[in-house]
Amino acid sequence: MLKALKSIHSALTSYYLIFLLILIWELAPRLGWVNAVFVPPFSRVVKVGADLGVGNILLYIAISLKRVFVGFFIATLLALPLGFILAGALPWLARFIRPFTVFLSQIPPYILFPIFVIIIGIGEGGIYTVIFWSSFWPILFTSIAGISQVDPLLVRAAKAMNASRIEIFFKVVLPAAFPAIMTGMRSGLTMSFFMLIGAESMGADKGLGWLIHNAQSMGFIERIYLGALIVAAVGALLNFVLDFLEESIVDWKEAPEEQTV
Amino acid sequence: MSSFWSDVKKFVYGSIPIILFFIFWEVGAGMVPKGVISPPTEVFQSLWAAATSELLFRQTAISLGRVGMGFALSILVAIPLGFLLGTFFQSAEKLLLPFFRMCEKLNPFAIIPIFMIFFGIGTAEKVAVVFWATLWPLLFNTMAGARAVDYSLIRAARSMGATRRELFLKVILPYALPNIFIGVELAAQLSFFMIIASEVIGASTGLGWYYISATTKYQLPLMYGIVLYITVLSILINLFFGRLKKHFLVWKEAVQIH
Repeated sequence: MLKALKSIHSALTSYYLIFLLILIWELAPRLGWVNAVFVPPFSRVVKVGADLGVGNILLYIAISLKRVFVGFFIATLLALPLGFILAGALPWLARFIRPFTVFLSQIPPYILFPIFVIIIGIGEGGIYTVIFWSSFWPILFTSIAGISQVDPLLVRAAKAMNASRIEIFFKVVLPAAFPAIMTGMRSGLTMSFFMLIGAESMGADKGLGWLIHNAQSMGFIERIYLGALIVAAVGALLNFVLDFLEESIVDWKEAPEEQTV
Repeated sequence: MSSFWSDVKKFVYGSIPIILFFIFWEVGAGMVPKGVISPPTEVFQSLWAAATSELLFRQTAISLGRVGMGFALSILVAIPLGFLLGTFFQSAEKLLLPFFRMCEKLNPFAIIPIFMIFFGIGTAEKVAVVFWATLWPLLFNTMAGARAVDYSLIRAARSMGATRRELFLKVILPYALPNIFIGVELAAQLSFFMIIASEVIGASTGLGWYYISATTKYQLPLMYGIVLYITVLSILINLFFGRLKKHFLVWKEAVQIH
């Protein structure tokens, strides 16, 4: 019996603080510590969520995720080959245009939104462009860095064994650069999800960012909290899935950095 | 002397693509219908007008002041907390870390409306947003740095009779500094980005507000000018913190957080 309790305790340790926060959130407005209009108790937020309907919420999540993934996919499709070509075949060009690419990558995508609206028009295009912009640069930079950091000894060894250029690329360079590229893709995806909420609150008619923004302009305070909760949950879930993917795909370069004592 | 000339050469080479970009922009702006993209000559003119009227620099000072306050607050909270969690209270980590991770996932854009409810749209809300956005990278990087301290170093220092204070100041702190500076660099980028975003969303002063007011008034050249200006500012901030990090990274490679 005690053992079972202990195992439950150790499994739940990580969540105690979250439970505590929810409890305080529930009790504080009810006991009058804070104004219940501005901080609605947790149960009311959940009830508003139930009123909105699980189906609707899932729909909003799906719409937002679709935007993220489409924008991210296009960015990956363009950035990866470009990075490979720049780093592998034209390193002088990569060095030459580097100040320019750094300059472009530093333009905050969020304030580009009004410009995209002027150029492309209002609607999905602007949101996709913002997401594209925020994931394109990290992927490009890390793929260039990853490829140029491949141990030249490996490439020479493969050359000595009479490997063709394509073989060298697919069997030596790509696997060696893969962990770095994965890191870049991951930070690109995280960044896109981060930007998405901002872009959706600027101009959209569906989605999570819109849910929050709409609630704010209509004064549905419960819905603001609900939206923030959902965004945090989806972000955590996305992170969890990425962790899992990274562990299952990058399985060969587990060795840590060499220990120099 | 030769290094000076190579610097000049590097600078000239580096600016060629940027100049090409401006030429391309100038030519391209002439081809598309008027009122979509303004040519860089007009952009620089309006930027110059804004700069001479002091409006631009006043808004910049307001924005940077807010960033500075939020950033300083977040450093004051995150670095001591990160050290405590990373060194003496590692057992508390299991209790606290999932909660912090959850908070980290709470997108600053999603939390801006909530902060607005509490603080209004003035400086307090902006400082809170910057604080929230920068707290997590700082905290996690400090924790990673403090945790990665080589244990044999601590044992060696202890066996030489170091007190806790000495242990902290002479072993743990220097060892963790590079990681802290990675966090500081990340946080600095993020804080400048978030201040602009939160001022765009709702403010009555600041650089982001200046931008959005130019947009709503359809002053296209000014709008493009402010985008350029913000970009250059953020590059300068990056450069500054990159230098700072390099300064502290001389002797040790930082460990990556995962």
